[in-house]
Amino acid sequence: MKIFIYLSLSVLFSLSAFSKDEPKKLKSVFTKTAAKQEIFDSFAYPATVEAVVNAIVLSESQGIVESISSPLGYAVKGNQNLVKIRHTDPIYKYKPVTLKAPVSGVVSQVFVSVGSLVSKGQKILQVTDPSKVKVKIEVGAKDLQFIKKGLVGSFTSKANDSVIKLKVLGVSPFVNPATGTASAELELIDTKAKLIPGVLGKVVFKSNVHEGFVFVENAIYYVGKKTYVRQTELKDEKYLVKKVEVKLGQKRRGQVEILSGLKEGMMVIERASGFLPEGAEVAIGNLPKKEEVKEEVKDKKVKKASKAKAKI
Amino acid sequence: MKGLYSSPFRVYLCLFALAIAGIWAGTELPISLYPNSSKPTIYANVSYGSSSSEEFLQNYGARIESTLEAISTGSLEVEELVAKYGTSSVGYNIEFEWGADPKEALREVQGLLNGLSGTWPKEVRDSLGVNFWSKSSGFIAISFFSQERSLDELYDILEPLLVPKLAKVSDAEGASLWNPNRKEVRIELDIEAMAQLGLFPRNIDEALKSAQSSYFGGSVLVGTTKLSIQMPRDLNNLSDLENLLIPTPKGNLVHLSDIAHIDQGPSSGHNRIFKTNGAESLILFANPRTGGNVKRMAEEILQIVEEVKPQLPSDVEFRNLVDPSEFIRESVKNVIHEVFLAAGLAVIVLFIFLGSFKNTITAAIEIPLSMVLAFLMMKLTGMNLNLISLGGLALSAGMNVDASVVVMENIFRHFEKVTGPLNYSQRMQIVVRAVKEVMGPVVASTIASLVVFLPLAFTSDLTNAILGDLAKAVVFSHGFSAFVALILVPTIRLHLMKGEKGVEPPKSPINGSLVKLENGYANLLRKFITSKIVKWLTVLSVMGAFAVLLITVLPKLKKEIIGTPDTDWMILAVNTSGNTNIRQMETTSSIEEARLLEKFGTDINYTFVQIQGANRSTIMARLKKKEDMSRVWKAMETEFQNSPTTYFWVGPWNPAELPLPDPPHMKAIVRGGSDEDRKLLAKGAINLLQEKEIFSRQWTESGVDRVENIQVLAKRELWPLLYKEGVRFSPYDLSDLARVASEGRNLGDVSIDQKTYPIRLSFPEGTMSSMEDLKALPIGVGDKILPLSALGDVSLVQSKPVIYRVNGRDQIILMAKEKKGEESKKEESFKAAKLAIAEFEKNAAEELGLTTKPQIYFEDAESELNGALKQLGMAIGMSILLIFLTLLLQFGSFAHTLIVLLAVPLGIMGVLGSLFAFSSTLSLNSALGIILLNGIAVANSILLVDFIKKLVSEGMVPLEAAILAGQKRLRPILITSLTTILGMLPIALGSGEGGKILQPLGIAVSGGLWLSTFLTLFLVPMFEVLYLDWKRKKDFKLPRPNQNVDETKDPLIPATEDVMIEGQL
Repeated sequence: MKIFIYLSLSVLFSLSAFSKDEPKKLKSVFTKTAAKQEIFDSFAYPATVEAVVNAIVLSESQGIVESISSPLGYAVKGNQNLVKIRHTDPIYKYKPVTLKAPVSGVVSQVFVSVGSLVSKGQKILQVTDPSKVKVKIEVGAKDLQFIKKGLVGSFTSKANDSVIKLKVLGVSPFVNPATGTASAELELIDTKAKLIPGVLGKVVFKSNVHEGFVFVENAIYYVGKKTYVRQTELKDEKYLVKKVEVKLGQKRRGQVEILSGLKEGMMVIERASGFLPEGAEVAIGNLPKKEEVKEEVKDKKVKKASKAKAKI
Repeated sequence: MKGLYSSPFRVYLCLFALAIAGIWAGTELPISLYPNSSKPTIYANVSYGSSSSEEFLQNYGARIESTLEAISTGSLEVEELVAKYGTSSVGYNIEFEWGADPKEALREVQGLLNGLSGTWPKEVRDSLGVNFWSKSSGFIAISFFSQERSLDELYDILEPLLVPKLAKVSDAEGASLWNPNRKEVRIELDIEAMAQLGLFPRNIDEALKSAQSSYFGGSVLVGTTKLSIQMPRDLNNLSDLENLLIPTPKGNLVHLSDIAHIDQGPSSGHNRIFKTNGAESLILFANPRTGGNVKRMAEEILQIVEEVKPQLPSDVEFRNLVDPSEFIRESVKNVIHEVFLAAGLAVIVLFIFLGSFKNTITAAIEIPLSMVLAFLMMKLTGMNLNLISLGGLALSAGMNVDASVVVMENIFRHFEKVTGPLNYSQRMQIVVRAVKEVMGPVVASTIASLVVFLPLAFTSDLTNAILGDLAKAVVFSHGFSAFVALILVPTIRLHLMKGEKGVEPPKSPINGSLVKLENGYANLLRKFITSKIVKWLTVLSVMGAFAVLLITVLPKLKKEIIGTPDTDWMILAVNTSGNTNIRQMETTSSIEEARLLEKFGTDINYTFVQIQGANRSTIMARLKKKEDMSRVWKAMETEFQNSPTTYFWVGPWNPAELPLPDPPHMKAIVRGGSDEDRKLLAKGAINLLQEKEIFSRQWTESGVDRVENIQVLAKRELWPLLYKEGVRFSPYDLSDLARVASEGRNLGDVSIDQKTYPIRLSFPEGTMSSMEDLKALPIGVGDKILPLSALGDVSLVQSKPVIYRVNGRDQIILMAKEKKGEESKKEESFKAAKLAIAEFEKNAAEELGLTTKPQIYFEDAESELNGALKQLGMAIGMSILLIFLTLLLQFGSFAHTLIVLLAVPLGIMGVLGSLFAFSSTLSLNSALGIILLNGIAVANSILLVDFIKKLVSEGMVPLEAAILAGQKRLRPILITSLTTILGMLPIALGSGEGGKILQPLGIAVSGGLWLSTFLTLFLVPMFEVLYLDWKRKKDFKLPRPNQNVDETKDPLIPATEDVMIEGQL
């Protein structure tokens, strides 16, 4: 009899041990609080910097270059002597002619050398004023509705470290049928900024600037043709998952604009450690103000990593 | 026969020659880890070139599919054709029926596709690749590393030493030393300069190609010698590359260095890192060619590495990550060990019962000889030496002495009757008579114990593929044992007798105890049969125990296809999301590796890490002891939990595991409807399964996630005018430019300072990080610089889903699986999933906004496995039926036959009990054990029943007849049972490499036989007495004494016992 009692007791005990479920480990999530931010479309074009003043000096007559008084890179003032050319035609009695700088600037190209025989109308020199530049872009016909006079863009190039603000000065009303583009000219807003003529860079314009919500694509959850995001709701000190239907806007740089369905302050789940069924309790891995702590942990881990490796 | 035995040296010579041939055959047998346990599958891959997946499918794909599907030659038959049309290429998996020769299949597919490729564009034709890779053949992997040297230095040291030698390993296919960090020549283009000059990547490619060739300028006859005129190639070193002249559209020539930065460095496109103990490593990898000897290959490669070792600097280390020869060597050693152990145990049993050392040796010689002869047959039938067939040889070792014992015993018995000296011809006559007498029974009993394997030949190909080799090995070696017993044993006996005078039958050293045992057993049996209570209580309890075993134990037994050997590799797979650079993954991976080492460092011998990409890495840890595996596995699973950014997978990895089909537990097919709707429905169903958490894992074949691509549509209408303006680039150049700007492009190899490097053309990193960057790519047209968007419309589009076709039909397959260790839940989960999906499908069209009607069909995912198991069950039934028919022929009575067959359920009881007691599994091998056991177990009861019947027919009372029969037959029953049980013991213990595979078989046979023997000794005589008494009462007369007992004897009575009893009478 005793044995029977012991047996039944042990069976009961083992049954109770089985029925006690292990506490299930919560899935962890990273959330981002919904907050409106500036959203815009951007248009980018390759842009060439050109000098506003860029004069080419031509030979006025046929002759031989006698001397070049302003070599390449020489800063000249308007009317300053540049080159002396001696007539080869006896009619002019081999009289030397001096070519003068039409504008102030720097000699940017010299096409001839002393002793060269030049003909009338031949390119001799180029004088450029580097302090006054403009930027030229080619705008596709489709984009012409956005690129208007006065639109502000930012210019970047390898030659410049900083971003330079530009303003559209004018757009050609003519679309070149071969390229399908119209040329547009831009000027520097900050006249002190330095751009080197001839450099190729990129101009980016913002358009359609407005406020809105954006989230990473991971946050979007598709059911058929409907789209949802998951948010966490605090109930009885527990974070529960709730699906919210949303309408998606455009995708820009890996982020999706959410047009409707969201309210400011909602905690939207961006990443999760596993699939999240509706109503599941989750642990939030990135509750605010824990960022620094995480960084520290990571540092420690790296240190440990190197230590452990040293052990091996 | 006389002639045979009279010339012993001729017999020895013949057998010696056969044995030599057998040994030769043994060394010539192809060696692989396992028999081929998967259907031969050929993989073919084709790139679309410039067409899209749909265009390709329409123009060429459908034709390819129908051609491949129709392959049907005499021995080749396509079972399933899966075609997967991705974004840029299509893969075909052509699965052939079982038994197809992979080499032939490969040739056939290659031939067909080459024939079809005649009409394909050249680009597509060149991309065609067809290959076969068998998982069961094994591979070798060795990592080389140094804590002090860079990978390139290491490669430069190892490459000249290893690579030429590796090329000579004839069994290997593509043995190579792989440097994941291989240097390349990088040409980083200046995007602005390119645009301003109006250049495209193509211009550089063309200039490079022409500079790399050397030109032949004919030849001149100078005097009598002919001198050829040559213009050597321009490109020999990096500065030549810098000075390479590129023609511009404006008619100038510029140096490459003016428009690009050129240097040599680690491959920027490299997407893999290997690390051994934290040091970046090179990998030597080789797999055997089809039909090659993987053991010889691995040994040759290891030998090369050992030869090279003294020439390596001391800091260069290597680790054999996977060495198949080690597994094979170990298991061969193990099998030999087991064979010796089994033979040794059998010999001890023989010696204890027979008493003579010489005779014991004569019987034992059969074990190695029949094995060597089996090699000959294996060679003739084209078998492999592998873990399974070697196991079969070990298995039969214990059974193989039986025939010799019988023959020898009968010879003794015949000499026992004669007294006085005999001359040679008299002795010869006696031996011939003795052998002739047992020849029938020996052959018959051997056939009887082999006939049980017959139904196996008709089982499904999966069972046959796995067990066929084992069954064949047993059949061959056991079959030869009868042959050897009839030829060699009498010859040796006769030969030995030359020196012996009289023939004293040898006495067992434990004869006294045996006699006591026999008497004790007789007394016990008498009490058992006469006491009604004990008798019926025993019967009832045996029946009860059988029922309990069937109801409670059978379902509890773990089921598996085949046992898996232990492994010392644990895998921790790390997946992240959002990394863009492989170096980021390297950091994550080393953090996790450190965590692993911190927690489990004491269990781990070394680690090997593969970083496969920016978001994937695999940390492999080699444990110090295999026994620690399950403990470490569990602990690792709790330690590494998923986080929102990092996902882990923990599991063991066994390079020596038999590759078996690994079907999902649920398989449903989405068919019909439009591509888009099919995808939506599949996605919905998968989401549902995930949400309900029915299975632990679910996935789809051919993805259902949304895929977006950037599309560039060239504005072709601009080109006529552009051409007029002198523009010479084509719309194709736009995509080429985008490709170089985004991911770079390889321009083939270049020889720099007599070494070959790949050339990579790219733009500086970060040139393209968004779609806006792509739109703004500058292109020089005349004097203008245009954005790419001016020449082509750039937009984000939903890309076409991957087209997944099975046997020519579009479909998406939903699959789900339970976690390892929770497989028992699968049936319940399957039902739940089926219900949930049916419910979901009702409203799916509305909820998901479907316009067409795709449907979900469930399929039996495990049909092949279930079929195999079912057929195996039928094979067991068939083998019992075969035994039944044999017995019916022998006894001519249903009652006796059924009583003899009592041994079968008793044996099965023993099998279930011992499988449960030793926590072994119900597997193909334990089923085979049951088949084998049936053949052996009935032999004991045949002995008893046959003898009782004979005694009763001679006029004895059934009770006395049963007791006498039991007493007299105890000894032979014990000999055969003990030799078999002890012979299987080493296998049942399952020690050593690969031992786990056959363990259930050993446990089944030895456990089952043990119980069956013990119970047979009591229950069979009891039922015989009951039946004979009942029959006597019914007939009211004694059975008519049968004068001609010998004539009624059926040749199928197992001979051992028969002869021995006669001797003892």
